Amino acid sequence: MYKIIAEKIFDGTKIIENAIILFDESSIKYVGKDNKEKTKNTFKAKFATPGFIDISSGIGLKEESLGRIEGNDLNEEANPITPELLALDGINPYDESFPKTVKGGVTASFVLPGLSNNIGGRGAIIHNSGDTIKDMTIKSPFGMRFSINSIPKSIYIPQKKMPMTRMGSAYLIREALYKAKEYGGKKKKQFSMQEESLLPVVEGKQKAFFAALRADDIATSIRITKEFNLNAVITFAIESDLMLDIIKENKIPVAFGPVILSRFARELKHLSPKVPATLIENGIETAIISGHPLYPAEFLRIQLGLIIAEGISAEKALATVTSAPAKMLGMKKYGILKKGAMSDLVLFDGDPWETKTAIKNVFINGKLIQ
Amino acid sequence: MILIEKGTIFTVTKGIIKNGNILIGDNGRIKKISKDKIDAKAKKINAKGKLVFPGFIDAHTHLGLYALEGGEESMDGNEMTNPSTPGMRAIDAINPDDPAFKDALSAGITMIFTGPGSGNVIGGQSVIIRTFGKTIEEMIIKNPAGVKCAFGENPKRVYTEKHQLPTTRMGTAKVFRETLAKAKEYAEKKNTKKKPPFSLDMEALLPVMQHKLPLRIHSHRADDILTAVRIAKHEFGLDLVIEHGTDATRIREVLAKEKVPVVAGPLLDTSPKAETSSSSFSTPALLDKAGVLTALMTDHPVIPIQCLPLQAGLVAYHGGAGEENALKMITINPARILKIDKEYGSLEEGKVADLSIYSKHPFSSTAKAELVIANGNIVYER
Repeated sequence: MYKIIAEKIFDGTKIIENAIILFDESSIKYVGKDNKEKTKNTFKAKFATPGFIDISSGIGLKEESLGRIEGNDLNEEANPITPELLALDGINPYDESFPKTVKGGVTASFVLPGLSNNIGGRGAIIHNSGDTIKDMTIKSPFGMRFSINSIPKSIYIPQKKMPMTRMGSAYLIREALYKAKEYGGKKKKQFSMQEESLLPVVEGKQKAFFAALRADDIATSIRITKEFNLNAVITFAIESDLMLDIIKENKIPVAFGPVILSRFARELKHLSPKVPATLIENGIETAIISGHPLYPAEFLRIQLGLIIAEGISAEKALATVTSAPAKMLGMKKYGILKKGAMSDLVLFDGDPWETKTAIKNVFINGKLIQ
Repeated sequence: MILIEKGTIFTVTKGIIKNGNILIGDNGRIKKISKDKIDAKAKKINAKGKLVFPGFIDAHTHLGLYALEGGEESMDGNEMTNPSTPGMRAIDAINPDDPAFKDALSAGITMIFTGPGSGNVIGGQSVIIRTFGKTIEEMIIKNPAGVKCAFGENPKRVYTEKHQLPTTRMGTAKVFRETLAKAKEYAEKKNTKKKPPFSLDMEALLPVMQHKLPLRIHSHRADDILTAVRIAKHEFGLDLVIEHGTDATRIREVLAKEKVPVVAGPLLDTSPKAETSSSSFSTPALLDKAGVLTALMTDHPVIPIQCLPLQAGLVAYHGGAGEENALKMITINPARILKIDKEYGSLEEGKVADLSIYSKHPFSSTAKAELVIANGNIVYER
């Protein structure tokens, strides 16, 4: 059993001052102000939060320092429709990014294939620490990567394959979804790996994670979502503030980011911390991503500072990397510090988003990792 | 005239003055800095409770050469048709309309060094410019200000794809050495009656041969850094600055002894290749402690220019440099490396009035510049 005495804790929705947390490897046992239980394993902190969750990451798939072939398993660029791929099969648990990311307080990642294919494959929710991928896995397969932006075009134009246009991208996705629907309706099925992978998506049982940056691509993603009655999340979402109305109307969550990134492509032209601030102010369910390795997941927390500087409250900013992504991933016991929640916690010596702040301790599954 | 009153002044070279006043003259220079009240007929800026810093300087960027939100047609950083292109001039590619210039100003960055990328062994002439202005001519502080060179993975990768030399580090060294040897011969012949046939590439290297300009050599791995020192300094007696210096820590004593400065970074990114694997926020502090003149870079667009102070904060608090030294690495140290420290890089009487006013330390992730002054004029106001 561990005991944390913190000047402030963030429980997933609000900040509680002078709080005590008790937890073991199975779950959090107590969160409150009055607990006299004594344990040798007592830690003091200025700030305690749930372990951060990075909801759109390529960690382990595109590895640090390993170059363009050896370390790159993010995109299977041979066919734009590859729903049958599993991120889990490409993740290298020994990517040097993992220990750094844990050091940065990010305890879990939702890893998805990259943006090259219109349907990229299925993701994996993992802990960022463990000896084998089996130890790390929280849920796999989970979700499906859809990509509606200029990247699939840029990959397949040189290959002289569809999609060469945005029309082609939408066509390929629509066709695959219709086929999966048809497959689902058949009594006698001839096994198809592609259809089997897409079936839970068209049945609304698995979430569709659309990578869309430009406003019109966000609109197309929502159009397809409505046509097939999907359960969608928009990721990257650089121009999402321009589509506020339809995002709100259709209650679509947004995983925005990375907030810190050069606008090195046209589709990033609109990038600004003002965009997620606008989403949050308008009550849209918003998470903040690293897009690792685009921006290092280790410094996910620093991006929160930029949003706070735009006038967002500390609680709402912290929710974007804890309770909000947990909710989008359907992980009820993650991203919160409440009795019964998972024992993933981070202890800080100051405000989590501040440059100056150091991370003192990180716990994953109730084990002291750092 | 502008009078900034009652601010906490981070002079960088002369300590921190609390409740200090700065008088900026009509010539755009700092007329007076004082703890005591200054009486002057001037536009008054109340800086009570606020912090005043010298204009920040990023000593290594590609700003303006990759206005990439303009799409691929704006990629003008690398003329990758020949591994040795010293005649390329950054000023011919810089787009003053790149919105990243505004980002720079909004973070108190008033001066940058910008130039060609690292695709070629010798990339071309870089320049020191302002972060505001309509035309490149208005923006120039010093042109040319250095010749960009690159060792290690990048030129190898570019020319391996083309099946052309250099495909190895030996090939890179050969291109570098051969170009310098030709430039040396060209410079010598220039002084004789029999003038060499005019060459734009060789002309670009003349100021390097005359010790008027340094070679700015991109190198990450320690052995690449030492190859740069060996050829540029030992074989040709030229001035050089090491760019990136990712693995410079292990040879910091050598660099200190050789008096070779390092512009370190970028650090707020993931390591993309083998040669950057030892990237660490501690590198600048370790170099600095060993006596190496060290500045920090964003390498914009690698990390966005406005993150220069934020990155310095991580170097200060998590890399062991401390606030004071990390601040030097984005002010006076780059000014010294760029040899503009007589005019810029600190808040001192007589220097050009480049400064920013913050209500929070710019190293904080929540800080935003409120007012930026350059050449004594207000150039940005939030």
